[in-house]
Amino acid sequence: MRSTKLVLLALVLCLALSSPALAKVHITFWHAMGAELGEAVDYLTQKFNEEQDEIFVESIYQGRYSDLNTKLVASFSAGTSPTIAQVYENWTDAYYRYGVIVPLEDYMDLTEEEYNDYIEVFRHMNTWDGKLYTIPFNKSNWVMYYNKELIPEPPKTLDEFFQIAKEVSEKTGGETRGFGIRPTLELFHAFLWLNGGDFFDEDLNVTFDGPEGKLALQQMIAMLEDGSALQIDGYEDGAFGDRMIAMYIGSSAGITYAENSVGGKFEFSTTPLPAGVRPGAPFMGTNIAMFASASEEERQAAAKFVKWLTNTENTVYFAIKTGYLPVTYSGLDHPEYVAWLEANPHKAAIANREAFEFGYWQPKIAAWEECRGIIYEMVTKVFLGEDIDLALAEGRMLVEEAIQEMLSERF
Amino acid sequence: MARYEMLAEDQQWRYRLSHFIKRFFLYAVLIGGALIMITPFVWMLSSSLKAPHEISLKYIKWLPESPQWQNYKIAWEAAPFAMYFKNSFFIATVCMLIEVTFSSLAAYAFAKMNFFGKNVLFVLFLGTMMIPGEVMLIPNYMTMVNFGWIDTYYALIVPWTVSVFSIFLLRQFFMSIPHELFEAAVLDGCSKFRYLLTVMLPLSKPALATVMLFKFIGSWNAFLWVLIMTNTPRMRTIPVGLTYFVSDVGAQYNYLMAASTFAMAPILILFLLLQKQFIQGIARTGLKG
Amino acid sequence: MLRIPAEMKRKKYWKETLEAYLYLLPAFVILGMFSFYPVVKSVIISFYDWHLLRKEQYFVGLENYQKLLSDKTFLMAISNTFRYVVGFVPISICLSLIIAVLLNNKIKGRGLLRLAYFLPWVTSSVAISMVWRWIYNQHYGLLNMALAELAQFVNKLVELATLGNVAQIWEFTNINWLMEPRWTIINVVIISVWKSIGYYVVIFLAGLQNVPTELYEAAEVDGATAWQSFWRITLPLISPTTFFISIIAIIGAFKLFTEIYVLYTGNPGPLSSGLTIVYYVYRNAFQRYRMGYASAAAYILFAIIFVFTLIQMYASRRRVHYEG
Repeated sequence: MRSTKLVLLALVLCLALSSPALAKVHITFWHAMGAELGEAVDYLTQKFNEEQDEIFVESIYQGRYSDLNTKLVASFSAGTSPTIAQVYENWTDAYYRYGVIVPLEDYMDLTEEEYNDYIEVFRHMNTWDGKLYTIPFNKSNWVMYYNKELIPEPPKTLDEFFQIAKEVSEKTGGETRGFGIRPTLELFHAFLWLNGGDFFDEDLNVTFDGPEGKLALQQMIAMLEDGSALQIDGYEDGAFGDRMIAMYIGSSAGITYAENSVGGKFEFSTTPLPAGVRPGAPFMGTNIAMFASASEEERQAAAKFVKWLTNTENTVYFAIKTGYLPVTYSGLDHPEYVAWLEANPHKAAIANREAFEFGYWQPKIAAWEECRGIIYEMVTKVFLGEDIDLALAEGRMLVEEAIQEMLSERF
Repeated sequence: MARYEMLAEDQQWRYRLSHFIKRFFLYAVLIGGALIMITPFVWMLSSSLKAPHEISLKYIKWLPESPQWQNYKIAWEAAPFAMYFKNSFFIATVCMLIEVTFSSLAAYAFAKMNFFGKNVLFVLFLGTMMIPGEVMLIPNYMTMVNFGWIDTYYALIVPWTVSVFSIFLLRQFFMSIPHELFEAAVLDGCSKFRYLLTVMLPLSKPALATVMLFKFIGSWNAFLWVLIMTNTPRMRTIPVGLTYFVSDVGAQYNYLMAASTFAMAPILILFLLLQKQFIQGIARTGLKG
Repeated sequence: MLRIPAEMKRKKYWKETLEAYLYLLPAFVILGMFSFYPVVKSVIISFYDWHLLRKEQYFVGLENYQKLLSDKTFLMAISNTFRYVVGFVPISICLSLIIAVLLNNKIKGRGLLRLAYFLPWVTSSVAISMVWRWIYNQHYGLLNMALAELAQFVNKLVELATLGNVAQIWEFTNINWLMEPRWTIINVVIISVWKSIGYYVVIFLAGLQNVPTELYEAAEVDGATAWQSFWRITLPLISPTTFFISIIAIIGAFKLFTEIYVLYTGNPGPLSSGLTIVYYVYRNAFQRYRMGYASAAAYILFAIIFVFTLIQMYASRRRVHYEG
């Protein structure tokens, strides 16, 4: 039975391929989604391929993000770029500067309504030159994970947060520390933002060395010094599951890892970051970009696919399947998604509607990878005992150099 | 033991005691060292059988509460490992066989022949090892695109069929086989090629085994090259499958360790099979005296 | 005037040259396509301001090289790399030679012992980095626990010896091995020595099979100790292997990158204390798209290794004994 079906299928396929009238537009989609995440991507592309007969999308797993990046870089030189791929904003900025990508919005025929349906933060993150160059795809935000056994009521403000962290450490005699700190850029950014600062102003002038940045570093150091926080290395979820720390700030995309590490040893939940002088919700993740090497026909086809991929139904499917966020308001409000959040109360914070109002993101500039490294080292230096003012001044100087170098690059 | 028989009885006793003490230390050192070497491997095995929450680096547990054998099944099904295994096995075997042939030929020329440009050429060969692969990756990728070799076994095999490492190692071994033997054989009318087959190669079994083992492992573990040169799962190999379990925000360590365990099993088997070749010390005896 | 060696004139020499090239042909073709060609290409690239995202590239002559030699980060990468090479090469060669000699004894279960020493080379690098991160952990790591015990023991000993007059000569506080820059290279040396011992042991063992056992027996009859046999028989007879390993080890050590990348999970260690030349090459090529700059850095590395290798080849000319 089965084999006859296969033969028939093969015949049909041969016919389909040999008849020029049915020639489909073939587009390729490179991504870095492995395992279950990859299954969700493959499921969606397959569904798209079955739903219509003009376009064939091939989704290809290209390793982790760093591998995908290497592969993309190699493909530019050889002229073998895919039609579309997952990209980070700093990659987009570099691609944009050198004309490697074309704005997806130009090909998507978005109505006013459709345009506004993309969540505002994500629109900001994807806009260059007043256009949606890229379309948000797998977005996540950073939330506070906390141990419900030790912290029944999560902190709402920074002051409460410091208080609770200290109490936990004292209550457990240091066995469990209130908070887990890594000298990462993301953590520094969180404190910086909550204190009212950011890395740059709108004209790319360095601002992280201001009073907010100083306060952020002081707060982190103070937490380590009075024992309310523990400095850890490796993924935070492991230390959290081992009850070494009672709170940490981490990506919502990592929630399944936290579930695994905790393994029912205690109850945990997530909450938005505690508010300082202002609330904040850091957003991360990648977007989809379309490459200039694609033909007009391929661009149209790819835009159709991307539009379809981020429509309400599919963004909800992807969000529920993977733990990433829906990228549209209609997705957030979709009854299926709302029901899923209600069924998983510990995930509620990841789609907290208010958080989207206070969203922030890392600078979307080509030199960001370099600046990241510099700022990371600056924070490390402070952790190792260097004077905060000195470290900030040096960090500022190096970041300015990197930005200058980026701007002076030949085109 | 020649000396032993010449000793008087009380001396024999002392000899035996010192022999015993030496043996004891030998075993102690070797077993102690071995324990240090295998620790991560043991951790890998035990983690592969754990539930995710048991994988803790604070409270290291060397045994899982109850072994989760299904981890292996789940890991196996998480990526098309059956196909990856087939590919890895094919690519590594072919690479190994061609490479050992090509390297033997080249090493033979470097070791036993006297020709124009020999030293310059050898240094030139060695020089290719001194350049980081990172700067050669893109030019090589472009070559593959021009050849139309992307997504074919050619791209995964052909560039790796020669390694300077192997040529150099075999050259060192070939050179230590007495030259008079070579001259005598050539005088007797033995062709150079026959001499290589019937004398050099059999005498260099330990080196050949080493070269083959390393090539197989290198091929088996190659990751970036395979990823760059292929676009379809049909052409990919085991290391690509291993990346499925790691993301930028966390890792599924139990599945990753299970997959890593079955991924390295063939290497261990090959090691044990070639093991006998490493200790064929008899080969050289009788040649010199 | 160049004096033409007598043998060159001989037909035989040229016949042999032709034959030799025939043997070298496969290696030549493959290396030509996939090593020499990309090398030439990237040498050319190193003279350009070559941006991987840009259509046009600009010739800049030696500017990349000049810039590199005054680039503080690059100079730091060179110094980090050197410190690693100096630590790694002698330790790994000595240790693996000792272990190979010990493993070459007729002992029970040596097959399994050999496998044990070889395991680190093939164990999953994620497992290796996890376990080593545990060993190095500041709070509950094995290394700090062991040092604390040792400190306590030493203090006890001194206290007893001085009849209680001196206490606490060694005040041990947990060291943050992975966060303090001064430990980075040492950490990586330890791990990579541990990892590569088995690899070199396999090569040494192959070399040791070249030593005829009769020689040892004869030496024993002559009353030589095991120590003397080692220096007078083993060492000279395996000198081709030792020479090979020392060249390979130096080349490999200068190209250090993956070990750092894995141990410090995608970072060059605290304050770039583990930033090596190849790490710098990778970063410039694939994260900053500056292929010209990266290629120039790669060729400075090449020049360094090349000089070292030539020195080694020259210095070992008299010390390496082929043909027994």
